[in-house]
Amino acid sequence: MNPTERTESPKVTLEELLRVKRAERPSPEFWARFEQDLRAKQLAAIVEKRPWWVSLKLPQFARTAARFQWPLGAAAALALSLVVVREYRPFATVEEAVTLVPPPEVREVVSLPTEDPAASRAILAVASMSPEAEPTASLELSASVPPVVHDVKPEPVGALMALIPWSAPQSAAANSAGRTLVVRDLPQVHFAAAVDPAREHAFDTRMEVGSVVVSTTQPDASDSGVAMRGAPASLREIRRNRILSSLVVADNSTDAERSRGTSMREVAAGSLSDDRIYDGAARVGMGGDRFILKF
Amino acid sequence: MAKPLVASPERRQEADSDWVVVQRVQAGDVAAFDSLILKYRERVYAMIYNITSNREDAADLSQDCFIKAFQSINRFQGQSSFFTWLYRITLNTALTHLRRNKLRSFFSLDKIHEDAAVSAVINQLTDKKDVQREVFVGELQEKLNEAMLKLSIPHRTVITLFEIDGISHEEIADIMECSVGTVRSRLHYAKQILQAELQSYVR
Repeated sequence: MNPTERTESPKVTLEELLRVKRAERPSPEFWARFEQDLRAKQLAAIVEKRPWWVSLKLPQFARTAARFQWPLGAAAALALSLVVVREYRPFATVEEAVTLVPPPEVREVVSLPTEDPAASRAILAVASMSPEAEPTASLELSASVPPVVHDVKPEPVGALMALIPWSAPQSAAANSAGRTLVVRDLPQVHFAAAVDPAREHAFDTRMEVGSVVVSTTQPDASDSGVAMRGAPASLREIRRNRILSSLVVADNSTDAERSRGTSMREVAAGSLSDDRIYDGAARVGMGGDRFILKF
Repeated sequence: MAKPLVASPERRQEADSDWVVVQRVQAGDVAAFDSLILKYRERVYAMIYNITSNREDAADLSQDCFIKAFQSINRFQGQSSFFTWLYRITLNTALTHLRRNKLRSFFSLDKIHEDAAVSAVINQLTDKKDVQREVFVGELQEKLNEAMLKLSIPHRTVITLFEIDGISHEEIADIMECSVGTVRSRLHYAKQILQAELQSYVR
């Protein structure tokens, strides 16, 4: 029935009309069933184990936050993972690397064209990680500048070094042998050769690593590998240098191994030149219902 | 005992008697809570029913409210009246339900129990008798609930508490944790909307 069909005009106020709504009430039978259901729920609530945060005497906001423990925990774990991946490096600092991982009984002779101690330490750090440090390897150099001699006292191998699988045993071997190594610019040679194998790099040093002889001339300022020596080594450069140095091991191998090493080096150099590798934001992505983290 | 935040002397007396029962429950007399359930179940149910316009939901949610109140009664310190505290639980439960079921809303209405005042209102609206009158009352009830559901949740809550439950502005402000001015403003706006929606019935 349409209210407009009424013969009289409406005579009630809104308040009076809302009394009709107040009169909407359930029947007495409803309350019997209500009480029965309530008893069952009360019993279930007593038996049911309540969340742990309810029993804590926490402020209201803390109890509210505790309800979101899983999302918060997941977010915290994700943030921690991102920070760890982003800040990952084999050495905490270059200084720590030098102090933590000194090759015992090793007399390192490093000739540097620069007086920058930070660059010297960076070169030392990379040189000490080099897989060239075979027990039988003897490295000699003829330098155009007076060499700097570091006498390192025997110390246990640092825990950080043990994380690097290919360097820790060799360091131990070198420790036990008490051998003298003379190192100069080997990582830079490796790095430059790996970045651009076709180019002839200018070094002013003649180096012998086992049967391999590397003759170098005066460093060229335009050479990327040598230019790194003058400036303080950044973390990215240290990473690249370390990875490329490990690839150059193939230079001491047979032709087949060398060609394989060359191709690996090209791939690695191409990949490393891409900024995506260490770009943290590009590692994270969403694919459908999955969260993707690229390493 | 902290001073209860209640307005009228009747409410104060009621709050004091409730506080005594609450203290018994807190002391371990679980059966004492039944008296509080019996006292407030209709008001709690009516509040939720008028907000949701669904009697099944109202029944479930009002039971949940009493369970929550029972579980939390040890945290009740008497800083407000038990009535206000229970209404706050009720309101939060209803609001949570409405947020979770935004897209699901359908009527499930209780029957109108006509008393003298309600019959007078209906008689003013129609002169129909018997079946036609029942049809008219059913239509009126549906229109009223539709108009209520067109209000926002705060406005619906205020109009329910004030016009249907008969709670004062101060107590509503205490329950909804807002100022008395906000309550009055919401009440005025809600009435304007209802007036527009029910203009064929009200003058």
